[in-house]
Amino acid sequence: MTSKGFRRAMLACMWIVLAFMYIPIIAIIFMSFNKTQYGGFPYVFTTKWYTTLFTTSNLLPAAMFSLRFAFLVTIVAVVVGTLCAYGMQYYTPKFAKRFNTILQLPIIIPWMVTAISLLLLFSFIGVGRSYVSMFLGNLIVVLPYVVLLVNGRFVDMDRTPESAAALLGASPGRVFMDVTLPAIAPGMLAGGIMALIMCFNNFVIQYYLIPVGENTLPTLVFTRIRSEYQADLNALSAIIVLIAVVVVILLSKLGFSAGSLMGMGGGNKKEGN
Amino acid sequence: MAGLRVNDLKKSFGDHEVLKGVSFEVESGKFLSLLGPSGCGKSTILRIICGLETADSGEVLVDETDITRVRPEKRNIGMVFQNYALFPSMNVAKNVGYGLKMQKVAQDEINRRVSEALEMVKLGGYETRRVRQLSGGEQQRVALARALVTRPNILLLDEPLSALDRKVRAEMQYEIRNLQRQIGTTTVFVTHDQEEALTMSDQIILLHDGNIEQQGDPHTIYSQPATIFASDFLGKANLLAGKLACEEGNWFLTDGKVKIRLNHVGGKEGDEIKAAVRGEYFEFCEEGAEGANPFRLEKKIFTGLAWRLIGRLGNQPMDISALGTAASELEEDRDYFVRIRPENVVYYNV
Repeated sequence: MTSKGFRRAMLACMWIVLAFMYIPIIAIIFMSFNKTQYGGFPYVFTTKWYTTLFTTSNLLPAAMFSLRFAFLVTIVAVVVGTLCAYGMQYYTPKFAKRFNTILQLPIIIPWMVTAISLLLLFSFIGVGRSYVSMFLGNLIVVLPYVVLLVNGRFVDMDRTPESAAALLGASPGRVFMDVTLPAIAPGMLAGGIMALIMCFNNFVIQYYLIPVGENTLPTLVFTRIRSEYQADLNALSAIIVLIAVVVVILLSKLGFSAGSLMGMGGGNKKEGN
Repeated sequence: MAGLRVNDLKKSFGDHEVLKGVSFEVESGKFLSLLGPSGCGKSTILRIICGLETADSGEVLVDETDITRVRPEKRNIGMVFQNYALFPSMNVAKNVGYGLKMQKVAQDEINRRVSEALEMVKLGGYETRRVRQLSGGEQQRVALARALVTRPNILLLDEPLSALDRKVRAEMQYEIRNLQRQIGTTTVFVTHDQEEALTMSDQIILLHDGNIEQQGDPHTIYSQPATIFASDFLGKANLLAGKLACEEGNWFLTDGKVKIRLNHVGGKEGDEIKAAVRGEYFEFCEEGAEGANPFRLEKKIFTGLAWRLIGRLGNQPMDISALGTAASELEEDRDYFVRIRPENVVYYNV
């Protein structure tokens, strides 16, 4: 039995930690509607920063480029990652488990290390900074997430319906389209969303590998904060937070939590029958 | 309708030899059960017959045509799996009609045959239900309809009832057998449940460690087990150790305390033997009656249909089962006399 006081203290801890995490996010949303440039008081409500963002500010082309780039990387990552996860199923569980561990390495290695080593590698073969280098760098960073998530679906799913379909006369291609794909689709979708987010906001890799003079949204924001800061950045941040909220809700509808994405388990609902 | 024959199937997984040369034949329209404990290789045989697994050597013939190297999707063999293996993303009608769609049958015809098949497994009107909304028994009926609607040459059933509860299982046993008789599809049924095999089959093959232990119709397999393993697996038999003896042309098993008459099928006097006797073949009798042996009743357990009487025949442990009316007056820790007919005693040399 825990005492009433102890329980209250723990509850207070929980709320303090939660506040610690969410106050900055809430603050930036408030500040995006504040008239003064550097978030000072008095607080005067305005939507002028949103207007600036969509009119005079030069952030939008970079944002669109980042989005298109992230989608391209995501599509390739989902296709390649799914193929890789499919291949893993042909190995014994013991080997697949080891492979799973190896896959987690690119997630844990700091992106800075990945970025610098890629820059060295690309310079060595004479490519240097380029869109291709940046594309490959981002692909490397997001692929493990797709493979891990799709593999998780494979491990959870019942494989006998695939045998049943084959015995009913379906060719291997048909079996994949009719039975396998619907079963792993949630994993592919979650992996895709994950890849999209990571790629959209991966400053480190893009900073090192983007061609000189070009900008993605993260690299542009970085320069803007240093030289010509304006509160339209706050408005942009608020919009991104809104998108993130939508994504989290979407993911949890699919049965994933951010924890399960990182391989920590607990969030992956098993579908009973 | 087709006959099935498998010749000398061998299969190893790594160092583990699962099948050590299994051959058997099923006549067209018959119901064969492969019975055995888990790990005896019975499911592997099914998977080789339908092509999901490749044998290391041996062949599978349907109507004397070798299909060993034919791809599974071209074999026209229906299979029902233990966990139903329905397609979760499709409704009942789509599940049942899947095989017909693969055969490029016209949609009208598919709809008609799917309805017929569902009617046949008593799920008429279930076409638009989601698979997940069905109970285990209903799911297995859908799986059965799906396997039969394409009119396969051979139907394979891989422990289809073991995930169901007792009552549903008994119903399904009866229905599967009934359906199989109506349609006449040659069927191979895999189970580890001896009662299920005895109830449903024309023929039973008892497997042990990748070999065929015994093959025969249910009654023969039950009453004349060919080996000690067979006697123990098909309903628990009592094993009595003793020596073979002959008196005035009659043969007996003796161990000093008991003397049980048996039909001589081999061996000479003085051979060490083990006799298998089923508990339900004993009858209680008076002291001094012909064939009477002393039985000390130690414990009485009521099991519903019968009493289980645990005790000792001479010095050896013995489990006798007796119908309720016959045994209700017997008392624990008392001596009685029992006898058994010689044709109900099977013995093996050890």
